[in-house]
Amino acid sequence: MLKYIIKRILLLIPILLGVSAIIFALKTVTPGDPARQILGNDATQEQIDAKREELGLNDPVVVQYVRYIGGVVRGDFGDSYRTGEPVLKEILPRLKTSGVITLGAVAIGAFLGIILGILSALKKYTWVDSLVLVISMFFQSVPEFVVGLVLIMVLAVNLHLLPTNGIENPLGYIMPMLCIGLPSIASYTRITRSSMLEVLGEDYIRTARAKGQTEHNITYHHALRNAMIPVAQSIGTSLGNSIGGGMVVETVFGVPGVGKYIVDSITQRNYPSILGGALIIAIVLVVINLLVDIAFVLIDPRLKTTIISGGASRKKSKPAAA
Amino acid sequence: MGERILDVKDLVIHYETDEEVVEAVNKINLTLERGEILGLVGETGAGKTTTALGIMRLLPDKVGHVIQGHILFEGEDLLGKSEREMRSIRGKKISMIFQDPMTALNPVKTVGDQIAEVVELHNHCSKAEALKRAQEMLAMVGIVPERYREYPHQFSGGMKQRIVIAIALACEPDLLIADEPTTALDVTIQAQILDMMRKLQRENGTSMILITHDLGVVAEMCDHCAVMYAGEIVEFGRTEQVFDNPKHPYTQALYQSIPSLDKDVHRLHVIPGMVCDPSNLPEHCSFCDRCTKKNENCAKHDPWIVDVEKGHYAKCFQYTPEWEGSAAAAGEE
Repeated sequence: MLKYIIKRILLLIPILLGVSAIIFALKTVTPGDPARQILGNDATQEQIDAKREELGLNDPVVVQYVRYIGGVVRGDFGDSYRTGEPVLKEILPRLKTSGVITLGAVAIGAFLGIILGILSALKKYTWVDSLVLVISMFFQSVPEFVVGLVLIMVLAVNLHLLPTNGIENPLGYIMPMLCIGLPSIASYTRITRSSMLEVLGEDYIRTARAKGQTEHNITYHHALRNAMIPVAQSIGTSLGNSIGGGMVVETVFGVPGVGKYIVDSITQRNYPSILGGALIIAIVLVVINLLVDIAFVLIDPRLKTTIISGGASRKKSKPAAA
Repeated sequence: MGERILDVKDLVIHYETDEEVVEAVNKINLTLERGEILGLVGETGAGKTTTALGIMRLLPDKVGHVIQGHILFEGEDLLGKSEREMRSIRGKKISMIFQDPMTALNPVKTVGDQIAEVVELHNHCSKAEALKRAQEMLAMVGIVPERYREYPHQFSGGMKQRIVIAIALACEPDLLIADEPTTALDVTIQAQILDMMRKLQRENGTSMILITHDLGVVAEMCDHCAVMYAGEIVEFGRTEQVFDNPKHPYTQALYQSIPSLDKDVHRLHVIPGMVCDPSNLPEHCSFCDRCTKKNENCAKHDPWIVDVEKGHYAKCFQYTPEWEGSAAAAGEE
């Protein structure tokens, strides 16, 4: 198990090298002088030259890249052009904010989606099934920002239950979570429904019935865990996707998150921030994927032998009889 | 003759979908004495598994329907039981072994838990006692009891089938329905599994219905034998009677198609034609089109099952006294 985790973490290296190389290349080929950007249009040529020298922009690109990677290894992702603050220091609190919102959103979406999915699988081809389909399709079809605006109108402006904007109050997290979570219900519902229906048709479900097991226990003890395997996969993917991809929601609700930070950095051509943001998100994604894979093993014991130990270890001597 | 444990009377099972009605089982009659083994043979699609699922009341939801008939188990009609009553019978009084051991076990539960589950359900004991029983059962089917914590994927196919058998026998059922228990296994393992099943069946005095398309298995294991064709039982009798003196043309043709090791033949004998479409069964004898002994009656009427000797029945006009040619046919024998 430990070997597997170490192997997965080592995979980070080529991923990060790739990501950083691409963004570094972008930085060098796009027009515009970072030194002029930092100092503004009023700066004199001497000031700009001095800044360029200070930033190391006069060195060859490869030297700059190696220097940057050297910094990253020591935990230095460079300083933001705009504020002069270290990128890591700027991004970590934002990452936490985005992380909380993402976790909450996925929890809401997955929880409701799984419940609705089980419901429509058990009541397949009835009005319940159709109703669930309509509800989940509705949330999927309406764009996030519309959901967001409606939530603000109803929950904040009319009912005064939640703040309209910002996260100074912890209640401020609720609407962004709902806004990302509700549209994702549809996909969880569908995955749960189809995988539940598939599992309920499996032979081992018939075996459980032949034991005299109740339908309730068959659904929740035999079918659900097997049906959750594809759902867990989907949860893993969306956890990763929404951490850096929440800029619409972050803008609507005025939440200082990673998505908004990167979008702002792009418009300001703040390359250290873009580069640092991208690398940090990549690290987080790899870690999340690792955690998801470990969670899989808890759900599906077959993976323990096939993935974790590479399918090769056969320490237990099996009795010859078969 | 001992006590009659199972008596299936005029059972008709249909699969109904929007497009068609499949007449899977048509008016079959079966009896089984306590402690005996009944072989149910026939080719794929003959209705063997459907009959078994019908007895278990596990026909596919919404599609499979028992149209008429009675299934008397220990004198009580299973078709009149509530779902709750059936649950207390399944696994406890009637158990079933399924065809494919590879898929019959839940991949995310340990085998110990899966055996203990049925014990816990019916013997109302603690989880620890049930697990202890599960280990006993594993030992009984020849698996090291310590392996109860392992998952199905850690066992070979033959061992999985042993586990399925352990589940089926854990509550010492009165009737065991084995649906092609060895079809998915290779030949050497088949023999081991069958030997073990027979040993356990004898020790526990379990009655058994053995569904198979392997005539050798029937000859080896069964006291009685029923031959199914197109959802009907075309011949029924003691295994010696059916094997030594097959009466129905289908059964006779089946024996001819068993390859012989002694004779040097170029082609195996096959029964010409195809099984008729179960969603469109003819009014007349369903074997008529493939039969070598057919008569003008066969394409007009459906024969009924008659006794050809004591305890030996066949569903063919040859043995129906009303059929003019029957005297001549009997004379030849």
